[in-house]
Amino acid sequence: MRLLSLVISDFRGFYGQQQVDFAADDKKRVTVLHGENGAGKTNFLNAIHWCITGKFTPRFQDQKLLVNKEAFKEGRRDCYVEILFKDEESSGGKQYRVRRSTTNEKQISFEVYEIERGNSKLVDRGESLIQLLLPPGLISWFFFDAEAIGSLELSGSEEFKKGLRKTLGFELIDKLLVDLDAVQAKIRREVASQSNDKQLMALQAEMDNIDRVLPGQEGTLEALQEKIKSKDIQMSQANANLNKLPQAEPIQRRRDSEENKKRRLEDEHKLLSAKASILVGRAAPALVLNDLTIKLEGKLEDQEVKGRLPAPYSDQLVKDILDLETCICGRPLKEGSHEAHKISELLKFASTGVLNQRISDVRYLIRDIERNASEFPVQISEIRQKISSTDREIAKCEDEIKDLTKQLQGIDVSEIQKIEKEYQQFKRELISLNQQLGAMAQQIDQNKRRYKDLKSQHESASRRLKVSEKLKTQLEKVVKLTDYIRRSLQDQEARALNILALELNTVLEKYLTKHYKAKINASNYAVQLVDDDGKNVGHSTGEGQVLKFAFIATVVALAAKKTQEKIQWMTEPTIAPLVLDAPFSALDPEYQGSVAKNLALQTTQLVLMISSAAWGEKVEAALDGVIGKRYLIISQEAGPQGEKPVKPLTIGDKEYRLNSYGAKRTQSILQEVQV
Amino acid sequence: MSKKNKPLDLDSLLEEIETEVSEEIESERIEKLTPQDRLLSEVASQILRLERDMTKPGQAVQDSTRIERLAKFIDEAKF
Repeated sequence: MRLLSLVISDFRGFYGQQQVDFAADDKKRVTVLHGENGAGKTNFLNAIHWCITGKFTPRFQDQKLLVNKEAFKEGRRDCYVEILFKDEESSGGKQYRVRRSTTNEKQISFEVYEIERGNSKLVDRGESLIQLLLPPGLISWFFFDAEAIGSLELSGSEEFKKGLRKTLGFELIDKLLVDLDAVQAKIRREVASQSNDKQLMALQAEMDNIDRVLPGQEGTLEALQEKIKSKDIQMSQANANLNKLPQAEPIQRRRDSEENKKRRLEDEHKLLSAKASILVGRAAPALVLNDLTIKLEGKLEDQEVKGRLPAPYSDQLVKDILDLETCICGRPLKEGSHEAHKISELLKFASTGVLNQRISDVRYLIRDIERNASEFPVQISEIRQKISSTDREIAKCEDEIKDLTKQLQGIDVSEIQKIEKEYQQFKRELISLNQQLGAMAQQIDQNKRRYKDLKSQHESASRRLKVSEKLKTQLEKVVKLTDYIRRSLQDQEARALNILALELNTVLEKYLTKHYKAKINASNYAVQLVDDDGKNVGHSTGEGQVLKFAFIATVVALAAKKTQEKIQWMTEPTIAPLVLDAPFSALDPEYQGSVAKNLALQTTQLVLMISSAAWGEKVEAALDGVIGKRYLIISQEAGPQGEKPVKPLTIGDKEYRLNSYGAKRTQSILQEVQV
Repeated sequence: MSKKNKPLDLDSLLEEIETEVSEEIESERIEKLTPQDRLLSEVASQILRLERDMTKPGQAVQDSTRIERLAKFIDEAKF
């Protein structure tokens, strides 16, 4: 999918009908929209997002006030957004027009037209067509509110993992596995009813019960995750509002930083606890075996001292005596004689090279176990010390947060107290939601474990019973295929994460001044930046921000299969524009150019909405030659200028004004700048 | 018939090479599998295609129909 143009009419700050044409060439594929804070960049991003999906980005406020206020005053009650896009050439290259219109209360229409030789034909089930071209699970990666880049969770939340799995194309396989479980359940029910066995029927009834309950519980879990997400956003908005108030700002800033620190420490705690349990698991055999090996070594030495192990003569010596037919004392030794027979019997106990090697291997093994048994307790105690010190730090942070909260509540300004009260309310709600989430996750886990247990009981019970061979074979085949797919999925998942890490590291290697690397945890998909010594580098650092941008670009490239290596079983590639709102304001200026360059390289079409503060020579130079279209989002104010500033923007040798005062009405104007 | 001289399309050429290489890698991967896993890999790809067709937006079938069809497919597949 490539965006060709957008018509926006009376939507939010955009009064009347305005149009933007996008750069859609393979070479000139970048469209830049320059606009200051509050000019309408987020509105523009949401116009695209809403037109295509019917939804808004999570931070988009006042979703019930969509019709432009000035237009509303003039009696106009609806607004619309229309997008013209074309399918990729490889998929037919057809052109489509999507149009969505709404009042402030409800959506009026959503239509998709196919355009053929200038004629528009209404597409039946337009929603489905759009979902095919841009799967709902991927939208948040393609239309990205980069103002929220700071809160992009790379530390491995369940939701993040789920979103990424969708992008990597595993959603379909996950769905297939759920369906194959349902096929197994269906055959098991037939087995139970055919056998007419009471125990089997009871097991089946309990499994059916879990089957009935589980989807509902999983639905509740997802709904709770959604609620937590929106509560998080409400909390950070209240935070931002507090930050804007001069009396509260310094305290609020400190509390913010303490809370970030606490979150980081909690992540570290999780990581250390996981490390500790792995270490305990690895140490257990060494510690248990250590007593036995001490005894074994004692016996070994005892036998060696007694000269029994290995025997004091080698097999070669015995063979030589027999070959030469002469004893070491010089007496002749005839083949077949009683003496020769006695000597050849010595071969059974003679030391051989293989035996010596085995004894030395056993010694190495004993040393290894001894070393591990002595080292593991030290390592475990070190990790435990680190965990306790992290716990102490967390407690300190909590005290500090409590103290700062008290200070904030003590400030006698009603606005601060109102927002603070709101903030505390959100926090309480968030805690309660997290508790509900934990309880629900536990119930689901219990049910899943119980189901697994019932399944194996069912299997062993049904083996004993007389059931038709056909049913048994059917069940065996489903189990075999499900196991194979599950096994292969694990391999593919590891491979996909490997490719993601490789691609990320290629970008980091090219653009970061420091030698940092990205590591991805296979179990929770957490992405961590590590330095030369393997130590974690925080996500809030300049390099951490680069990692986040690199991550988004790589995910988009993976979804489009633009990466060098391919993943087997990935769904059809999703080729869509990457639309980023205000992308570089959170970035260290030293990295702005390289991030811009990488975004343009990794995407098939890029739409950047950017403020003058984040636009500099480096970004300009990085995008040189790939910008095909350029617009200004000019913010016009109806009020007088007074002391307020005018924001200039220099492009090449020309200066433009991004805002003006004393206008006929307050509005956002889209004005094309010739490239 | 005269042959027109077309300008060299580097992008399509690269894409073609890329497709060929990934096909080669895939066939190499399949060659490395045991005969039993090769057979399972083929059946797994087929059933995944079936699942995809049954869950396509706009063409999705009911859950029960999907389960029936998957069961039938496995029953008929030889592995």
